[in-house]
Amino acid sequence: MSPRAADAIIVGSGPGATSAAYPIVQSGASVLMLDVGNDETRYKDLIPPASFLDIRKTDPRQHRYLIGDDFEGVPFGTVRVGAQLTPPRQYIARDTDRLTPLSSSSFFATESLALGGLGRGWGASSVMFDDRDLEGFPISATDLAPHYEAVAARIGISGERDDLLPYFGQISSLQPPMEADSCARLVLSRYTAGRARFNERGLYLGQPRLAVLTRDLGDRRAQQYREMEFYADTDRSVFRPSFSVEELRSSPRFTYATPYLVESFVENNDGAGVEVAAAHARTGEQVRFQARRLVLAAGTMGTARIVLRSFGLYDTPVPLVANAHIYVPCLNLAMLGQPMQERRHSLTQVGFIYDPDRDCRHLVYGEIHGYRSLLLFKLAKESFLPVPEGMRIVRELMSALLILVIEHDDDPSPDKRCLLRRGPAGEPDRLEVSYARDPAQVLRERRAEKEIRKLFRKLGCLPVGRVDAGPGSSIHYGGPLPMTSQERPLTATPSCRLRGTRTVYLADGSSFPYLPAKPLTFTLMANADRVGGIVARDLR
Amino acid sequence: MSRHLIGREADPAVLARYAEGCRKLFEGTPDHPGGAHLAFALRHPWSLPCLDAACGLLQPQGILRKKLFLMLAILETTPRHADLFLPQPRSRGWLAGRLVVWGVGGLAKTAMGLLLFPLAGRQR
Repeated sequence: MSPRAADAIIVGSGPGATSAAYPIVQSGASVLMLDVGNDETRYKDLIPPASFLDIRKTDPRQHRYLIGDDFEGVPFGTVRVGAQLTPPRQYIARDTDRLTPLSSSSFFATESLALGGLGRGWGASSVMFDDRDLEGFPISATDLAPHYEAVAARIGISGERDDLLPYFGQISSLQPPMEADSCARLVLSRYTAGRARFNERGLYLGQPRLAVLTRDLGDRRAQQYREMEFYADTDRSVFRPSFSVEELRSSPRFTYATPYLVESFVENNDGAGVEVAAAHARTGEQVRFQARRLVLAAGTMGTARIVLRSFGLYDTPVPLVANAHIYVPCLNLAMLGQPMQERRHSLTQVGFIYDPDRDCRHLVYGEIHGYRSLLLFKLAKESFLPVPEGMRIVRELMSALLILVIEHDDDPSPDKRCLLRRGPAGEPDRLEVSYARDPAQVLRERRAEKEIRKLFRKLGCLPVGRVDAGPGSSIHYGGPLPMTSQERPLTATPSCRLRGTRTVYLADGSSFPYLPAKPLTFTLMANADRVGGIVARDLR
Repeated sequence: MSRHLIGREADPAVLARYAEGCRKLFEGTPDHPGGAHLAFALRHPWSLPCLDAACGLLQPQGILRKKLFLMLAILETTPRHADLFLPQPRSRGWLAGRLVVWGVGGLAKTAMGLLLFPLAGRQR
């Protein structure tokens, strides 16, 4: 039976929650992590530790995990959020419709109640925010620097000190970069040959910075290049927060308690502690837990729900920001007809930054991906040609196909908000999101994309489309309870203590006032490590 | 359908999986658009390539295309057919020629399918 009290309760088990837990546990305090904790049990034992190509040619059970026992991996609609959530990854979003409903006609959110949270499907991009990225934050890059180092040493980050170093930041424990595939290497060599010309126009390319091991670390092995990252964690080279939960559980001071959906908190009158109300995720039974400090890391929208419900602030809008996320399929024409290499990975092959004014304001972050392991039939579906012809054409173009993933920054505005609606009797409360980007912002983004497409043409990559999966598709969210130096309700202090409370801290994207174009996860983890340290000191 | 997609009969395991997929994905849901076109193609298998092409333009979310993609997904994840779905090294000339042949062939089927589409849609 789980204890009902600890020095600190942490809500959630994702990248923020686990990063906050380490410094608290290491300080000698006890931590109780409350989580719904869904996990994948159906497919994981089916997936052999073999390469994607080997599996495709030999494994008679591959259909079970590639398209799913219930054919859940056969999408029939248009491109949607979480297209990379293959059958063995779909548990990440399981139960969210039932337990944490969200409605919106303009925002496509993905939330998680899984062990490890959204981090179980993380693409592992791990870049640092610099002072320009943190302009709207009450903290600086110097404040975060030791925490980036601590997180990097813990999870393992690989990358290169190349043209992207000024944008991605310096990490002392950086492991060697991942091997890019032949298609990506060709793009990089063309960039290197014309570097001055591309830099002049604001384009910088380099090796991606990824939370993937290229050298063994603890019981995790270096990347084996099996191209199965969208389906399995067989070599454990790609960091997943569930690995941290496993490690933390070896400490007697750490308890992981499931399946609890935290609903609200109330501080004790003397301000010396907090009571947390949770529901058993399967039976609905109400359970109460006690702690001296509470760290909310239930994901941006999950934490917003808990705070708004605890304060009784139904129907009260709070801000929401999300990176715009665009896919641009391109053909690297020189690769047409070339053999595809067996040894490769499915994550980012090349990183890029578009910074036309070289002032780091409104820069665009980008990644180059391959596609092969997501299966060909999904692409053939996008063709209007008869299915056999569409399939053959896509197959022959596959060796030359690159997907540019482009991310833009996002500022809060009155048109981007969420609010909590009280659920009818017996039903959960519902988060409502309304989200509309400012037309000037959209225009600026489209202009930047046009330039990027032109520059990639010069790199020999012919753009053949543009797919906007819609607001929310980046799965990078922030904004509802921004950290700020100004005394305002529904904000957090620079220490990420929730204003209006003495014992409640935020350790996820909910406290990010703004989202730069760079992916937030690594910074979210560094900030959570910082918050964990603050809580640990507070507990002394 | 497998003859249309890969030019040969699928083995019984694939057919059983396809039947299971149809049951899980399509049974018990409201009428799908394009039911008449599917019925026509099943009665007149020669018309399937043309109706597939026409539905790609006029009814991409119709039941005919959905069932074709289901079969395609099953075939793609069957080891026996893997080579049909994995790119092979090709000469530029072969590739250019094939892309033209497939493109033109696809457009020709589309043109015939557009003529057939209204007729097939009227019959049940």
